[in-house]
Amino acid sequence: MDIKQIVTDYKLFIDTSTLMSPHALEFLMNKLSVQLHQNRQQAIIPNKVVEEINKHLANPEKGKRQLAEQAMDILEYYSQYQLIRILGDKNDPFLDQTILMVFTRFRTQYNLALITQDRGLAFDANKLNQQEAVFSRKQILTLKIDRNGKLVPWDFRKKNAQPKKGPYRFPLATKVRSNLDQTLTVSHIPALHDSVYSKRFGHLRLIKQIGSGGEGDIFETENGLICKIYKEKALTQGRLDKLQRMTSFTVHQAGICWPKDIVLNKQGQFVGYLMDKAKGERMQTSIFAKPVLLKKHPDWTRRHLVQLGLTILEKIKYLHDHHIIIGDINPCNILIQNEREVYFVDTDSYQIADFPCPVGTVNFTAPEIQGKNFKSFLRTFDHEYFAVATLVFMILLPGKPPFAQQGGGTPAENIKNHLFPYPLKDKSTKKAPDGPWRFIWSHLPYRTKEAFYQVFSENQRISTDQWIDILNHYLTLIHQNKASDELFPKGYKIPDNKRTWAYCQEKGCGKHFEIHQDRKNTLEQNKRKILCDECLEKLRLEKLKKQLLEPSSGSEPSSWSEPYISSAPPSPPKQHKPRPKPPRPQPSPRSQPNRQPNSTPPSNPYQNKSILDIFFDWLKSKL
Amino acid sequence: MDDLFLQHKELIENPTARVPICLVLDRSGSMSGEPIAELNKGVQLFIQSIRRDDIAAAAAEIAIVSFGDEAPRKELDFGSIERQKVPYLTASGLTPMGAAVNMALDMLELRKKMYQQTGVDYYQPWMVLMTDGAPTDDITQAAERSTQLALARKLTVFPIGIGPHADLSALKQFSPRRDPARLKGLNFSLFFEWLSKSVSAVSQSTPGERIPLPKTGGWDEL
Repeated sequence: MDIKQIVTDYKLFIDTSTLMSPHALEFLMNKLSVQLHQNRQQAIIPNKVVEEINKHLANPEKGKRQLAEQAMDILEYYSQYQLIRILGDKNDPFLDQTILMVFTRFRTQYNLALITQDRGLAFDANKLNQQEAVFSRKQILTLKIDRNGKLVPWDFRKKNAQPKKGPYRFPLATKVRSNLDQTLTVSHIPALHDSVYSKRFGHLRLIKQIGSGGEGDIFETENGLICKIYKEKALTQGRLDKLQRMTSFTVHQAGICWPKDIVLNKQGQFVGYLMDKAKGERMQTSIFAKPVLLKKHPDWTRRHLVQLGLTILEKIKYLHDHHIIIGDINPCNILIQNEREVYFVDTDSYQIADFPCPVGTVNFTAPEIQGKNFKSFLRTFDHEYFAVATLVFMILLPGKPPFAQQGGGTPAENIKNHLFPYPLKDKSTKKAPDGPWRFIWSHLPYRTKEAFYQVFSENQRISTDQWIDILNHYLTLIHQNKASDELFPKGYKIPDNKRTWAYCQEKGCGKHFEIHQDRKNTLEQNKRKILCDECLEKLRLEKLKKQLLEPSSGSEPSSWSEPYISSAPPSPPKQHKPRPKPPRPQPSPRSQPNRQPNSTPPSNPYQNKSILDIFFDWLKSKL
Repeated sequence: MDDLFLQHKELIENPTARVPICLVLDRSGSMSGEPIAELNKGVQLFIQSIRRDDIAAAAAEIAIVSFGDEAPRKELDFGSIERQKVPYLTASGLTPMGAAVNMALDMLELRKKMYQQTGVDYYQPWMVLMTDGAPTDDITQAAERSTQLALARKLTVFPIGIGPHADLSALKQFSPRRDPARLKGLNFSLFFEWLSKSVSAVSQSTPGERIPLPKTGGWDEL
């Protein structure tokens, strides 16, 4: 849709449903606002809309409440730049009636446009076009924001053609199907230049090998589809059954490289499947480390990261809506082209019905299933939500696992013990990792931090829908300049009302710098030196150096973090007592590796031989 | 410790879990000539192939200790592999293997301490010990340390004998879990290529996690 034409030629009305739609945020904040501003136009918000949103602000349902807050933020932003007029009369009936009344009254004078997500309202407004059409050349346009955040006209014919139906959902099972590993007989595994056969796509030649993995090889075929050919030992009855089940379902969501059809060899035996081609680079190697992120996406700011999170969450939501559990969520299975174009690969491992996802990695595994054999049970949405939270965390703190911390145990131990090191309000383990991570954390919106804290520290999971709300809220705050847009902020957040100045009291420095009011007060009360960030950092390094050079006593180093300045909503200023002594070093679980029962998962035939042993045996045979 | 500031910055900015690796290399007099030249080539190749793999480059941290003359020498300290200059080893003198292993274990310990202090995830370290002869110093204490660590799964030791005169029984004393391998001829490049592939495989797993089986097909390329 030509937004410019709409804002200049039409009186544009926006309905509550659109203002509160998570899909509309980007459009409203970035597209419509710009067009209105450039063309010196204003959108019209019926007063009833404002009333409705106000009511939702007190909605007991958290999700609704958050969306209402988002809508309010948008309205505040619009009115700040005079992009809206809020209109209404005392005697207005409820909202839909008001809009229809206003449209009936003015439709012969102006072109009228209405953006609403409410199909019924749009239908009624559109119907007005057909009344006494001869007397008017003016038009009523009804529009909505679609799932991709695009402004599109309502199409009433299309909907009538296909009666409303809920999404197909795979049944949720509780027990893993038996006999999954029974192998099939295959006389020939197709290789490069061989042909494979698919019922849907016919004979296809494998024209280029583009990858290989533990389970099989990946080829491009002559019609551009991608074909995975399994290795002999991976060709099981269970896999065939699962793929047949998967291919009977069509994914209507771009970027999910879902199995489209199984392929057979010349003998008519099952050997693999076809899928769409993915683009972009693995998240692990393009986003999950500061240097590569800066190199590969030099123009990115924080809003791009948040948008990337939303793009990924939308796809996960789509899968969840159909009761598909990814299981092995990890940064090597997601390819990034840009923040709005991402591809999910290796989808044949996803969990559907009673077919488990047989793989996983420690960082993305919920505490209650750490160390379990992924083949032996079915994951729940709760397990999946832990992985989703981890992924969101590692997007916002690019590449940093949520449980990495000072002096901690192994990742699995930290996860199982809910040892989330980042602070919330006064709660802090003082073990947050050093460097940019604490700064990023301090700049996250309170609601985002609260959510992470809830999942990782309090072990209460948050659904994919809720994460979408949370990131939408974050994005709005960035657009409104209420949250930092820096990719890697250089210091802790100082809220505007707490910002003050101080002189660095380190000898020879004397720098004039910004400091948190509470921190300054506390330091002054305790008669401690006020130091600028650089001098503080120097001091900490000196301390680090000393600790490192202490004769090794076998104990873990004590934490040496500076107290956090909470960016939480105002709380009484903390009284930092001068720390008399560092806490006594606690023996960490890492120093007692043989005590955890889970260090060798059961049913692993290689439990007595590490992979390095196997590698080394191989090496010896070759040298 | 002079570039502590830089080391610290690199540590905290890179979120990848690290694999610290210390190469403990024989540069005694008997290595002079072709052996030391081939060894130098192998080390170069090792660092280059790790640099080519984005994930491994972010994960691997390499230090080198050499032993020759009267005392071991720290040839390369831990740091970002991107900025490391690969040293060139020259052969001469004795084989102070015990002192070299002690130095390597000290360095690895220090590095682990830094990981813990800054909150960086890490894998237990690897030590590659290569010699073409027999130690000329007392290895008892160093071997004991190495053995303890290896048994506690806090150290992975790769003992490699170079050529027919390497004292495999001395090497074995450092490595309770793994028997030494003997390099026939001077095929260092095969070993270092293998080592870099192992680093890549491990750096794609999570610390403390069992690594999935290697791709048996992939090895054929070697």
